Amino acid sequence: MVEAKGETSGGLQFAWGAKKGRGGTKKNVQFYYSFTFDNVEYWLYDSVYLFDEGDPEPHIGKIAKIWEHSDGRKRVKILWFFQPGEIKAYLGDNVPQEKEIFLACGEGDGLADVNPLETLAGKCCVVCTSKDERNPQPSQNDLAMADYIYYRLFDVGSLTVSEKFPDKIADVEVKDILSRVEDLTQSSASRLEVNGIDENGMVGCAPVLNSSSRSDLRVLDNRLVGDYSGGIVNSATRDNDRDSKSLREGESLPDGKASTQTGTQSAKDKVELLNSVSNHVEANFKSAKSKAGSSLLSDKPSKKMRLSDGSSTPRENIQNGAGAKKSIAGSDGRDASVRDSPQLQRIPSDKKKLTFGSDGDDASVRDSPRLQRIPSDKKKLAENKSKNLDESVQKAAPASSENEKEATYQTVEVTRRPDTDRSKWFKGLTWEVLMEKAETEQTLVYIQNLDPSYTSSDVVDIIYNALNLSCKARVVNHPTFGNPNYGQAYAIFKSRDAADKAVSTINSGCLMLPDGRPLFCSKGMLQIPKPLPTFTGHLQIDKIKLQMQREEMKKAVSTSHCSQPNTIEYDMAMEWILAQEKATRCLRELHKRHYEERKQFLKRLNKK
Amino acid sequence: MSSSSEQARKAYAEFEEKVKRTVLLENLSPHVTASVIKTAVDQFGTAVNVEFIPNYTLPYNIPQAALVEMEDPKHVDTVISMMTDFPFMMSGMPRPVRARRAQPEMFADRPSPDRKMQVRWVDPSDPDFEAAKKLKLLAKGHHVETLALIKKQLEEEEKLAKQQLEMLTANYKKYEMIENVMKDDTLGRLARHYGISLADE
Repeated sequence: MVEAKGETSGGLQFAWGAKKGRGGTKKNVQFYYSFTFDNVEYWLYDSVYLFDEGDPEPHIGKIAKIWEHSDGRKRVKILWFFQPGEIKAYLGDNVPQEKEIFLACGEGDGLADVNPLETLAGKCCVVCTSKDERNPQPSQNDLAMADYIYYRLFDVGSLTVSEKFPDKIADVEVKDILSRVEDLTQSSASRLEVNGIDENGMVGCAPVLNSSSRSDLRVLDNRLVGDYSGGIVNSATRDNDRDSKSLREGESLPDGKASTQTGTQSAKDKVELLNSVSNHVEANFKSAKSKAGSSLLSDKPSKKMRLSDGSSTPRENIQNGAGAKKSIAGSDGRDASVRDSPQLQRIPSDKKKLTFGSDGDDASVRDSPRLQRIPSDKKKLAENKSKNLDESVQKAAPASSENEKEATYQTVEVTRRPDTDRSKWFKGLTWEVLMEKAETEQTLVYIQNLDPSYTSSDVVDIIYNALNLSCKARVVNHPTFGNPNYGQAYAIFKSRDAADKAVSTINSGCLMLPDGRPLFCSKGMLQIPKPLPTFTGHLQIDKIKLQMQREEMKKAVSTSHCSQPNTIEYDMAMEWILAQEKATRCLRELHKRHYEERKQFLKRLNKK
Repeated sequence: MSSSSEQARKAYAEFEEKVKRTVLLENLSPHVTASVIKTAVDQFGTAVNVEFIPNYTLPYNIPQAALVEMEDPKHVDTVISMMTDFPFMMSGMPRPVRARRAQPEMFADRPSPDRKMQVRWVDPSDPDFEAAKKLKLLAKGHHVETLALIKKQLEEEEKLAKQQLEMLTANYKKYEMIENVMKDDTLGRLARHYGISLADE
């Protein structure tokens, strides 16, 4: 039986999640699927940050195994990612992409290590972009928002880089390592339901949301004890998903039993059915509770310290409150987790800063929770058993929520516009000319709030299906300055009336695209200023030079060069590069915030 | 039907291939033309096609950007590493050009991957209608925020350019002064005055 064992490790909140099975030579090791640590819920195969003492750069790894020894030592096995810098010597011609990291594979040192659980510093959003057919493909949004991406492996034995994923890495099935469907916010209507919740662990809720989500969860608790006919809690979907893993293999999947009450409930009901069948209802209890905790969390380790939340439950208040740490630590004195005294400690009273406390009594290297990169002990896991079960649940979820949409609303399946190919019969005028013409004829419409991954023909199809109007369209996202969360397009309609009609229908009504994107649009082209004759940042001293430049420009020779490091020009160029990098980062940060705001909004929407 | 979807898939694969061969150049001066880019990039590989990305969305004077399709995906790496390792000047100094790998969304005329989409009209009586309205507002708000940040950044750039121009002018004046001193024999007279020999030996 699983029990919610709320305890503290050096002042940080900790609770186990779903149990997995026992192992070890004397069956004295308990494996888990999840746990909550410092109000962050971690699951098996999550990507995490780990900080080493004195090393400013975080290590990144994947949780491959979670267990607790009988004496209370908590351990995680971490499968490592390599930063390009760490394996620079072996990269050769392989130029790493932006944000790219490499997954360890093969046999040897550096593949995976066992670390004290307390060394975890937070979750990390790593998206696998491998073209491997087992890997669900991430959307552009996922990529833009990922902290890191990977599609290549670094073999620690042969010290080579490859793109081929083996079936198993460090005893973990590769499909568990690749991106999980539920972690990606795929831009299809069917995923909407799960979207908001998926990355809950990574995004964290605004404090406003806390109280509501908590009461929802309480509802869930009740329902799991009693019947399950009442209201529905979206946010539990993922928990249930995962919890179903804890079903033992003997139990059959109650397939099809989930008679759809209303479309909205089918997916979750099914999952809940599964759970209520299982012996592990309590596990649900627990993870539901830990969920309440996890709604406080945020994505980056650095943000951890900002979590002082007025609306948190009394239990958490005790942990967060000043002085409480001492009393808890004191009363738990005998507890092994305190002996493990983690170096990542939170000072509850004032600044909530990460400090590295020194290990008091236990000096044994094994117990001191420094990051260790020692070769792991390989204990066989009995994990394949419940996998099929889990998968079918995952599949069931999107499928049934799709039904829901069709049942409840007037949904239009976007098909190809039948005459779409005719335009290609003529080469025709260039887009620029067409646009200018359309502008004067007032048939040009600027459409906003598209998914940035939509193509021009997608836009044409959407307009055709929704409005029954044909048009020519072109997406116009700017690569440097555009917001990667939103796409825009210009559409040219056949007549002025058609354009007017389209604008008024779209703006007065509400045309909802997948992923919660209601379109809006405006007539005509935006006012874009004509480019100035001078370019900001290109300096000229006097007229002689200007003339020279013009000469050169006409011939288009020697107008470009690499700057050499011993010139004023080089210094100034460096200033520009700095400024540009700063600007890029500012924009990215803003867009990340937008992304999260949007996601939170959608999530709140789904809850209602 | 199957042949058309086959065709679409093929077209998309071709397009993906093209994306891999393409590099995005940013922070280009408006004077830069296709031939300037070609000449510049040809030092590192063979440019097949240059396509400027027009600005239709931002009401500001932003630097030009262009997609340059190379003959070989390896050339893309060369271009990027050269332009990252050294500040690369094109049609002016000292603001360098930046090179990045191209992404599919940068192409306005890209083919569509096979995908299923569902759009729906939300009825005004639907509770989602209000939410959708708010979503629209949210999107608009985000748009405004982005524009404001870009505007701020452009102003910063302006400032930096001004500052650099001042520095450069001062520097230029200094050298001009030195040159003049040498030329009009002020230097010689001073040397004689102080009894110093200017000769090299």
